[in-house]
Amino acid sequence: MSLYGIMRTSVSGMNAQANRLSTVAENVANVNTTGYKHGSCEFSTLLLSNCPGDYESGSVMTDVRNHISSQGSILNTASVTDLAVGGDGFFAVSDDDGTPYLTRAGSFVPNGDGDLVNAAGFRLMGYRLDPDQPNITVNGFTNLTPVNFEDLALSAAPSTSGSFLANLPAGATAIAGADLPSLNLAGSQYTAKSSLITYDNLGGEVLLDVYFSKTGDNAWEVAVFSADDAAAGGGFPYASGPVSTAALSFDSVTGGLAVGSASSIDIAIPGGQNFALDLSDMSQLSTSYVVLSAEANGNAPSGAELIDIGRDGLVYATYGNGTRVPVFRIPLAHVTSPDMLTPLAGNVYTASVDSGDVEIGFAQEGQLGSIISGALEQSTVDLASELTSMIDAQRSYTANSKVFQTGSELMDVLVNLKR
Amino acid sequence: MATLSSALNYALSGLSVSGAQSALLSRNVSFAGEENYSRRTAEIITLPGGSASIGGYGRSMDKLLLDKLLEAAGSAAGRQVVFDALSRLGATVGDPQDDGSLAAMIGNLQQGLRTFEADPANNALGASAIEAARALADKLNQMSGEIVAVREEADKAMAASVERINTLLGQFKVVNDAVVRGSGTAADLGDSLDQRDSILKMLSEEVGIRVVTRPNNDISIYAEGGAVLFEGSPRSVTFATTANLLNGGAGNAVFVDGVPVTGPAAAMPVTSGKLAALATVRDETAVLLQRQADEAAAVLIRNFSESDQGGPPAGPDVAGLFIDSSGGPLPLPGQTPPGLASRLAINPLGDPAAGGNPMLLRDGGFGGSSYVYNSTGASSFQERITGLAQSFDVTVSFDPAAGLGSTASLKSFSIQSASWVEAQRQGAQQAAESAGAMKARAGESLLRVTGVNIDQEMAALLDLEKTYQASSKIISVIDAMLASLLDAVR
Repeated sequence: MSLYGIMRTSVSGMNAQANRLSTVAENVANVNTTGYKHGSCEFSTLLLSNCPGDYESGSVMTDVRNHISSQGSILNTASVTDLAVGGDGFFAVSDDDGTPYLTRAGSFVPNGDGDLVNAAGFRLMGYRLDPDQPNITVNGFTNLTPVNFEDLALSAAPSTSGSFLANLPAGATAIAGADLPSLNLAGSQYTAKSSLITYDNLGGEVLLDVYFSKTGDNAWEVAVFSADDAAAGGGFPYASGPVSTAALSFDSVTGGLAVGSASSIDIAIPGGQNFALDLSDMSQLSTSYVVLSAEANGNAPSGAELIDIGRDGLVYATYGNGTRVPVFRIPLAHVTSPDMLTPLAGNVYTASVDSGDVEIGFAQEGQLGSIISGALEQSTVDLASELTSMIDAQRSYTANSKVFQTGSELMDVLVNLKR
Repeated sequence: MATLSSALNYALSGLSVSGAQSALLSRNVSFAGEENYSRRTAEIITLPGGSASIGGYGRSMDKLLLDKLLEAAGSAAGRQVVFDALSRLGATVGDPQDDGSLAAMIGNLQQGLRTFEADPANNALGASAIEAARALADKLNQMSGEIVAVREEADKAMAASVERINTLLGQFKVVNDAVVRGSGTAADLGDSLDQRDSILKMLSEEVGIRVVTRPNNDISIYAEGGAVLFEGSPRSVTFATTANLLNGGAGNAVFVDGVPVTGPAAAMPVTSGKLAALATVRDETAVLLQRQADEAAAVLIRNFSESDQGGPPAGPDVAGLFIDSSGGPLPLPGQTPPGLASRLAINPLGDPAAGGNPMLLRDGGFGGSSYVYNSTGASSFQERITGLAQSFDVTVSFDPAAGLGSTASLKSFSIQSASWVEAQRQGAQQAAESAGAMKARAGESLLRVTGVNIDQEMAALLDLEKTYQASSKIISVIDAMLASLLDAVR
């Protein structure tokens, strides 16, 4: 029955080439699809058991490969929420039902609810960072929420820590004990004064007046007052005593804080949190009073005005007062064998038995790569190779059909043996 | 993946980068020569995969040079203010060579007395000596008025300066917030940064400042001495104009963040910038000159005062020709009341214009009959006039607080006063010139770093043109290649 075998074999060959042409067609159609990974066909033989001297032709099997792990070239766009992955990771997205998928198509725009959705309508998932660090589940999508900038409307953070770095003048005249600011008298004297803006629980600005007074050789007193309590026109006496005081002692050799000296001052911000002001880098050298840096965290309630996304996937919201706070972290997902992922409509993939389980990590960790904001990953399709495959497939298809034709003609001859 | 399609993408990214660079370049060129514009550059980065992209915008700036300029601007503005004020004060004291100067007036009076001394019976000569005395008193009144005017103007200028500082700090908040918001993103912050630096330059002219950079390119501004001007938000700078500067006391202090920064009670004083210079003029230079005028007036009153001529002198010394118009007692050495020069007047008893008798100058008796020196009523009595005429050359004591030593004759005191002002003025002129030159140098050095060099921009433009041409050539070649492949499909 080898003539039938020839015809069946050539039919399988034509089917295989048709499959190949199908992948070419799909590739060419998606030549401009963001995040598209091109497919190709691999063929394998299917042989029958043959007795010596008699050969029964086998056929060919098609295996469609998706080159999901290949990196598309990255092209700039003008939108911050256009994201591309340079590396092996995938964005975690979900459909309307909440089913999680993986994708590399990162053209995200906010929808009516404020969720970031890509061209195929899948929501970008991320970890919400406030108030606590995210609880990351390595092997699943739990705790992921859609990245949404709408509910960032107002955010306030009380101040909890800060630092003050200044040089206190070693040659200053010591202030008499009865005139020290800590006593809060009308004629209180001080060597230097600074002030620092902090925020209470509701984000209200609390201006702290910080007085430095030399009490003796290498000994200083720090007294912190709430500026709201200041006498009319500013200064002493304050309506209530110092919020906090500390004694600093300096090393007469190095000019830095002496061993055993207080190196920070804890301030209970009125209506706010405990604020630790780090003074450990203060110095006392023979020059004038110079402030080198003064910082405090916290921010006033204000709406998010600007969003930007770092390469590590941290989404920062910048508030009206200039404070920049990370609000989301976009994770990247990874599987052991990306090429074995099951592709679904909309450039998304889902884990299959062969691909291995989904693992969640962050950008710039391991091989996951980095998230590039304001850029899109182009389709990996190369027109030139698709066109050559097409020509090749056309020729192969024609060759197969010739084999079929020959088999058919031979059958014809055979059938015509009997008149 | 190196394929034809990715080659197209690379060429496309090259085109867009060249486009962005040309936009930047044309901006640079249009702002060439602008003092507050810093040259912008684009940082080109390679994205993973290989295409080119603008990674951020750079701005030529040298913080050290800017700090230097801020320092120089403050000291130049301050010294110019001191110089202007001293020029004005110098004009009121006058060059001793000129007729209108204080020294010339004293000389005139002495001359008038000498003439009267030669012919003591001549009523008209007495009257003209009184006229010379009146001119001298007027001169001291006018000097005192001018000094107070200088002080009052300085006081008003301080109020204006404080208002300007508050306005600038308000503007600074807006621009600084924009910078902080945008830093860390790829946004082009050049405009905000330029504005911020130009506000700093203006601010440093008003008051000496120190700039501290915080995370996110946030800037805090501290006044010299360390008082906080801006940290997150502007601190209040307050000043109330001084109501009365006539009494020779210091004016009100400027408060920054509740700390006095000018005047004798300054806890954290500022030393450069207009504000500090105005305070120096108001509270030091002009006050010292006022004290000198007051001392001259006090010595005049004392020199012309009369003592009781009775057997044992019964009454105290009383004022003679020159009096304190407010009726104050005879000023004792070292106890000159402030503002005396403004109240110096001619005793109406000896003023012919007020119906007085100029012969009291010859005979004495402004203080009553017991103070008459010419007891016989002789018309040739010269002793009193001689004594008065010589008094200008007699060394007397002066309050050292006036800054011209403790003893001098009135004549030499008036010349010393004039040369003191002149020396101060010249010193201030030199200081203002050198500070101005320093500022100009600092500005030039900064401009060399931040300014736009047209030659450099044009050379870059040629480069850009070539790059753009090359990218477009690549695109057309790839197009031709794909076309030939498509032709192969039949």
